Amino acid sequence: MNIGIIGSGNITSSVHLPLLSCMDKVNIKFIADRKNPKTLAKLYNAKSIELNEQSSFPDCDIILITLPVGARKNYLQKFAEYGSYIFSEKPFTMDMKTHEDLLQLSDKFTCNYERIFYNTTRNIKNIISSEIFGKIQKISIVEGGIHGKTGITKNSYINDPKLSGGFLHESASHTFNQLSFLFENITVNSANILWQDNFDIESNVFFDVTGKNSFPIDYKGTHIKHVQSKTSIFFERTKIEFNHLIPDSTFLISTLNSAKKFILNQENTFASTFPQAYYLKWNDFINKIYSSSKLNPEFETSLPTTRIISDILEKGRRK
Amino acid sequence: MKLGLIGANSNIGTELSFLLKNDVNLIPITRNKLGALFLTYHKFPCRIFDISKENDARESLCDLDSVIISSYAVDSYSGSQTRSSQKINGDIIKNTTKFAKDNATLFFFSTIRSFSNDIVPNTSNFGIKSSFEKEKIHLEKLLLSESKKNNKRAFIFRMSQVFGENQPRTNSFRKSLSSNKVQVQVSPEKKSNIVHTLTIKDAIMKCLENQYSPGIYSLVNSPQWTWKNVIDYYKKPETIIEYESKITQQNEIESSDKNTNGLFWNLLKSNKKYIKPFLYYASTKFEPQIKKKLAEKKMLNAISSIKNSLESQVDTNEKLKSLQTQRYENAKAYLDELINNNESDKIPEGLTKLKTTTNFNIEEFSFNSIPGPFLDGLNNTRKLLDNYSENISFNQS
Repeated sequence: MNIGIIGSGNITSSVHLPLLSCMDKVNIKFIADRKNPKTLAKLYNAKSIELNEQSSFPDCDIILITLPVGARKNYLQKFAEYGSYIFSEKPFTMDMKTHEDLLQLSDKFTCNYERIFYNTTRNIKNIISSEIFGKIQKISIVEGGIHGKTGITKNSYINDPKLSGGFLHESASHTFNQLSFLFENITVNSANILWQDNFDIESNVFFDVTGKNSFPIDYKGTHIKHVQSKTSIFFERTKIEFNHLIPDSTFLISTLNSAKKFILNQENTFASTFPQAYYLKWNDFINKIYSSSKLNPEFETSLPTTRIISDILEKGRRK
Repeated sequence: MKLGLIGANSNIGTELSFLLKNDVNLIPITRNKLGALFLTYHKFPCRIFDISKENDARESLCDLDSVIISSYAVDSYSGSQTRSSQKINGDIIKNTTKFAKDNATLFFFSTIRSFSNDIVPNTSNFGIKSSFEKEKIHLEKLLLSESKKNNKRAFIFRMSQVFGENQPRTNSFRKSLSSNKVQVQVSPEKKSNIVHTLTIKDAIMKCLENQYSPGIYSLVNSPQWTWKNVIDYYKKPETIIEYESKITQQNEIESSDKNTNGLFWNLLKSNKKYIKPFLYYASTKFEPQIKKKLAEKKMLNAISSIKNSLESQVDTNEKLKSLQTQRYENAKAYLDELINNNESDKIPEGLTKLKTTTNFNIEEFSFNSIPGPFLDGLNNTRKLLDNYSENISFNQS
């Protein structure tokens, strides 16, 4: 499987390249970026390409695109038109229209929402679908924290919300992807966003989940307070709490009328670490290509996640 | 008095920004916009400059009467020192001493580890220092020599654990000391080397008032707190504390035995352990190869363990699923009984009771008391903590 890479930033050099180089039957054909990524390409015996209007690319089975979301649209379009399979970093796009337009062009996309391969996500899905604890009454989610040391340079794209999309796109998108993986019919009821220098520094969102079991979800993503990231699911008589950000969270269970908590033991069969989650995501995509099975691009790219973020931004827009 | 704070988005830098803002004309300096977000939200007049770059340093430091250097670059992938990160740290010191006003007072936060293993057991083996120790000692020397050359007053504070409302350690202590009963593995009367941010602020203010001569000082709470003082301050009122100093002594003996194995033991421990130190010395041109090796090692471990797990699941998937369902049902039945006030002694297989007694042991319990010189005449830390009334909204209400 020949893979070409557009974007040579941190996620490429510290996650995708070392992972792909350890996978069977995978060959890195080229690495391209605006600044010629010679050193990185040489390290992986790949061709280095400087991105510009005239760039031409060798044929590959899969194109990995890790450019910031605000800069990748043209490359998603270009390689979709070539008919390549495309593995895009998250979030897939900044808005619904671009997302839908791209899916019209190709059904060979996937997007790197790897948290659905966490044991944490799979275990809570099992708990909910077993219906053993009854109907969900309410869900509360808190995440974020104050940014300390950033570890990024002065000119990193993350400092520019036009390129990174801000916190909702950059980090909360993972959580919304988990929610859309767990619940089919989820809509944004209301949203309130606090802005600072064009960054969405705090978002308070109310969701409605409808269907056989209807209930509300309240979500807080903050970057101005220290919080303990946590999801709390309130069933009819019990409450389950876990940290949705980590692959192997402990699940604490208690009755609604008591502070006494127990650990709900789990059989872990998916990713317990971050690298394992990335591996399972890549493995899943490559296996689907090998088996020639038709991809479900709305699921692969998580159209519901883009819809959720677009709705939050619309409902929480600056008045 | 214009006081610049380089690395204002570090844990200590952010908290000091709040503590100093009413006493000086404080200018927080961060390398990027993301790092400045929290402080600009709280109306601090942040400057966004990369002080390791000469032009940025010239522009941002020239009007400052004093500067605190609270930044410390590490390689973001390995979390260790590379030649590249060493260059950044060195350039920050050089540019600060060069471009701050003449006679400016400079502060640099160093570490107890600069005293080597007389104070901090088990960190050095056969005289080989960690890259953190080496780098801090190097930067101390660099600051002293550059300050002399550029006519600046430099104060270096050697500190161990820093406590305060924005310090992760404070939260971790509170959490660890919140169980019903905690067995703390240190002698209660042993001196801790902790320092609170309020005492760091007190020290800075007194240095700015010319109460001390420039130089290297050890900074701890005033007067130095015992571990009992620390534990009592951060435990929940209802938490029962048991000190198990005997176990600590035993641990110290075991640790010092381990120490004699030194380098050999460390080499065997993991690849990472012996690849990482090379990063400190390796030329920048070898950094990508070393990082690649580290990253691939991590990925190979991840892949091999998940592959094993996937293979073993093939035949047992259905079995696991029904076992898990059974566990949920048992858990549900037990909790239903609990709701009806029928608590059974026998916890079902699906549940595990949370521990009511926990052990609390940290590396710092084995540290010896930090030697001086100290800054005499600092205010009583406990009184500073009791009197500090401003509500800094770091935490979720």
